[in-house]
Amino acid sequence: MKNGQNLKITMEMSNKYTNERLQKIIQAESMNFDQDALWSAIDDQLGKRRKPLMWLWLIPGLLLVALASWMWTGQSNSNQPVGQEATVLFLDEKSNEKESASIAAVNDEIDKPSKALIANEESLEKPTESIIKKNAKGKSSITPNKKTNPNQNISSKKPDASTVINNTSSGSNIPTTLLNLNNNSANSINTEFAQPQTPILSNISDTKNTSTTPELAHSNTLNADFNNKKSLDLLMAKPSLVAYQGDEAELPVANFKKDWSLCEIREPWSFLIEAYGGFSYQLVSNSTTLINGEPNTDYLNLWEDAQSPVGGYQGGLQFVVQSPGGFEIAAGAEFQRLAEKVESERTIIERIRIFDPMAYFTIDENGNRIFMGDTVTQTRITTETRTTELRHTLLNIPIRLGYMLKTENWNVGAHLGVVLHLDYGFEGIAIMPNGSYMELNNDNQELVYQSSLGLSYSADIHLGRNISDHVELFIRPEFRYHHEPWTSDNHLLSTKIQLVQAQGGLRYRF
Amino acid sequence: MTVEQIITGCINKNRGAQKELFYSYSKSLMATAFRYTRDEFAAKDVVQESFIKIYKSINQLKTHHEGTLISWMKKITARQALRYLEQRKSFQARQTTSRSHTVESTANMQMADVMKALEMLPEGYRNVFQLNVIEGYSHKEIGAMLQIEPSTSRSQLTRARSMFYEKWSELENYYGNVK
Repeated sequence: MKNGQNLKITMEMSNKYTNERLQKIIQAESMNFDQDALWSAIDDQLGKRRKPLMWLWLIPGLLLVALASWMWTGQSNSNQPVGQEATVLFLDEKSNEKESASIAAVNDEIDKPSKALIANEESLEKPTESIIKKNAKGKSSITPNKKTNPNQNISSKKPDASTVINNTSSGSNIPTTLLNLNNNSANSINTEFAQPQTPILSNISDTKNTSTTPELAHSNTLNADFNNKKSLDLLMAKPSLVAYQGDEAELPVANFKKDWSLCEIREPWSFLIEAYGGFSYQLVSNSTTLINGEPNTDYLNLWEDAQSPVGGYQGGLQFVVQSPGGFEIAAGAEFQRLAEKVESERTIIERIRIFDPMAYFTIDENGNRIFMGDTVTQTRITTETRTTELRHTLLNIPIRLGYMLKTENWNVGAHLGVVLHLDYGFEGIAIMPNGSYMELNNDNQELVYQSSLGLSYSADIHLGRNISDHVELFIRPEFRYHHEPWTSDNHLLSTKIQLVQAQGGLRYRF
Repeated sequence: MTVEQIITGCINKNRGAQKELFYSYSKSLMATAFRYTRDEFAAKDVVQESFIKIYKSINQLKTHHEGTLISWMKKITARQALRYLEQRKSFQARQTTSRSHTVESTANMQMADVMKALEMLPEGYRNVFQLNVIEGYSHKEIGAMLQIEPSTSRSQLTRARSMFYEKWSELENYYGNVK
């Protein structure tokens, strides 16, 4: 009877009252256990998880430092005069007025037939031939400019590639030397310059010279050859510009020298091939789809707790077409691999059955003690965390449009582009909404990830240094934005991945 | 160390503060974990993982008040315990647990009654009841955690509440603890 009344009273308790009472009781709940042992385990785990993945960034960091050092030292060494152009100015003894004649190197194509050096007086008598020739000892040779074409740019492709036979400019490593010729010789040179259709530039570099600074060696030879003569002075004069005689052949040489408006700079379209490689890091943003209008935060937390980006690498080849104005378009093929890690838990179940003479009871609905058994099975479940690598493999076609500012040694520019993802494959395990793990590969990746990725947008900054006439070394930080999720449309979690990349490589200019 | 100092220290990953937090609240969280798992070893694992998560995300705690802190930590522990139960189900490990082997509870008789009454509930009802009444989760959150519809959670709670209070009342009468 009393029980029935109490039951009735209990049933009539408002939910609020009973809830509050229950919570008050529960708030005081605590359980004694070996805190020291558990703290020790947590302490170990905290220490283990704190290990940073610095080694992933160490390698690209060291590479960048090495690259920067190399470029720095390369710049220091580049102060030596290296190049293929020169202007020779002749000094008339009487008037003491300098007449100009340019002896400049042309590019490599012209370079081959005209490995000429300034020659002695005999060679200068050949009016339409080169003004440069080997001396009597055979160290130099007269080589006519066979590829002369007044309307063709015969300058070096690179304005910086200047060769100075004898440089009067300050800071030059080559001392100014007076090379004396008699007046006839000088005149004959001037006459030669007055001939139409004859370039006033000719190559003086010797590509067969094995010296590390061949032009300097030539200069020394010239100095030796002409040291005892008194009318020829070799001076550097605007080696970066190219002069043509062309239609203005009738102009006096002196005027020609001074009127730089007759000179023009022409740069052809350039074709380049580029090889590059680099590292990338994923910026991951996850969101959940709605279940009954509410986000599935549990799955989101589960995913984010277990899965984290590690980084990746990529490499590729591309062809570049560069306009004279500095605009360029590039396209190629690229292989890219991105890695993530997932921490999965392996559960170990240990069951120990203990016989206990004491009987175990429970209480039924009527408050009666019910015998449950005389043994106890203790189950100990421990979990072991295992880290697994997930791999996204992509085959891309990057297409870039950009603009380059080119200075003497440096090329600085920026690109905007699209990256077409030709192929996308995923390998690894994925966490499913119920907390289980599923092995995925190319065959079943659609269960979680997309089977193809469409395209991304890219933006980069290009910083390059010319290490030779044809080769440019560059670094290129890049950001790639992918607006679509990488996970399947019907998956409960939406994952978007953006990439921050650092690339470096070489460009070869044809 | 005040609660504010402990929380700030934990945000700054100060090991001393983390230790203080653990020693201050682990017994309470252990009891929470045990309510779900009904296994001491499992409860320890749950508490361990819960504390790792607590340290990792304590910077998300907006109010540095003790009540809020405890409630938040218990929610994390409950969630972790449910994950454990889910995994145990997936491995089809059935566990027979004896009340006698459990850790000594500081529980007074009231607590013992609550625990007994909870144990008498079917597991599904028990989880819904604990998550809603004790931990304070909404039905939508419970639905997401247990992968059931919120309406199912609501109906299970009604039944669970009825069963629980009935048993609780009986136990109190049985042991003469009715206040």
